Amino acid sequence: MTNQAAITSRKVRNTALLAGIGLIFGAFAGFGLGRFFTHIKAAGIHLAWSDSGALLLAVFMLGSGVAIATLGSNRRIAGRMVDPGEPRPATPQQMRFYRMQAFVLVLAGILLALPVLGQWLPGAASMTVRAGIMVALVLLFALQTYGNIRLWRRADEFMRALIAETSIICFWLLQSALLFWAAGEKLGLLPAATLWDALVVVMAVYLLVGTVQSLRKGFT
Amino acid sequence: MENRLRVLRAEHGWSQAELGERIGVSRQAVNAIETGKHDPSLLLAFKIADVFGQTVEAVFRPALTSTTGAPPHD
Repeated sequence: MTNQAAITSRKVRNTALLAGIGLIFGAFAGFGLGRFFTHIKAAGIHLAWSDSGALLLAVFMLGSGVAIATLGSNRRIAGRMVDPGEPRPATPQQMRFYRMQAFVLVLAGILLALPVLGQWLPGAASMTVRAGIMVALVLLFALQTYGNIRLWRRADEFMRALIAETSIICFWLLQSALLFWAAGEKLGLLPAATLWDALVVVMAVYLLVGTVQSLRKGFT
Repeated sequence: MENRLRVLRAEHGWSQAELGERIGVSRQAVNAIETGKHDPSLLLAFKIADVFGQTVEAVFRPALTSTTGAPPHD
């Protein structure tokens, strides 16, 4: 087998292994969310589409964060994530990057889930409890922003260009969507949307565009 | 932009990850440059040329733009 064929074979094997591990995490997360929705429905609670969407996105981000943290905690496995074709143990710098990425993803998941789940917390009818949830959100957001800044500073020019392109595409798509939805609502042609609805759409579009761009640029 | 990165890397027996470590970028960045999905910054282009002991012009070349297929005039 030529060297290139050996590299390709290792790449396919390691990519399949990582995908399989990701599938296990996804299965647990999906099962848990499915049980939650079933329980909610049985309790006669109606969830708005944006609340369901937020929880779905939150579980995806939490699951991804936990998966990356778990896989990235082992230098050999993390090395397979860095280079599936020619895996070497990950460097301490690469391990730190994965830990920070996992940290940011987990926080993003909590930020999306907390406003939805917060309405069912004991004492949620009280303004004090709701204000406490808001304070927690602000603090978590500050932590996540710190993490994102650290990731940006550690990223190379390729990753920064990827982030910038994703942001530009999202801005154009979402601005266009906002224009037409707002105009449609003004003209009485479309139903009103809440800010939470808009946020969930923003997060979903950003995740989707980010994934597509990563695939297109060969980042994943 | 066209480049000779893959050829030069093979001549030195370096993997993408090894080249990435030498120039301070990720393996994915090296792959993106080799496959033309990312044009390196001037600074990175100089680093790449230096690590191979070549000039920037010997490593990178603008893609052909003339309709006749001839290289652009200087």
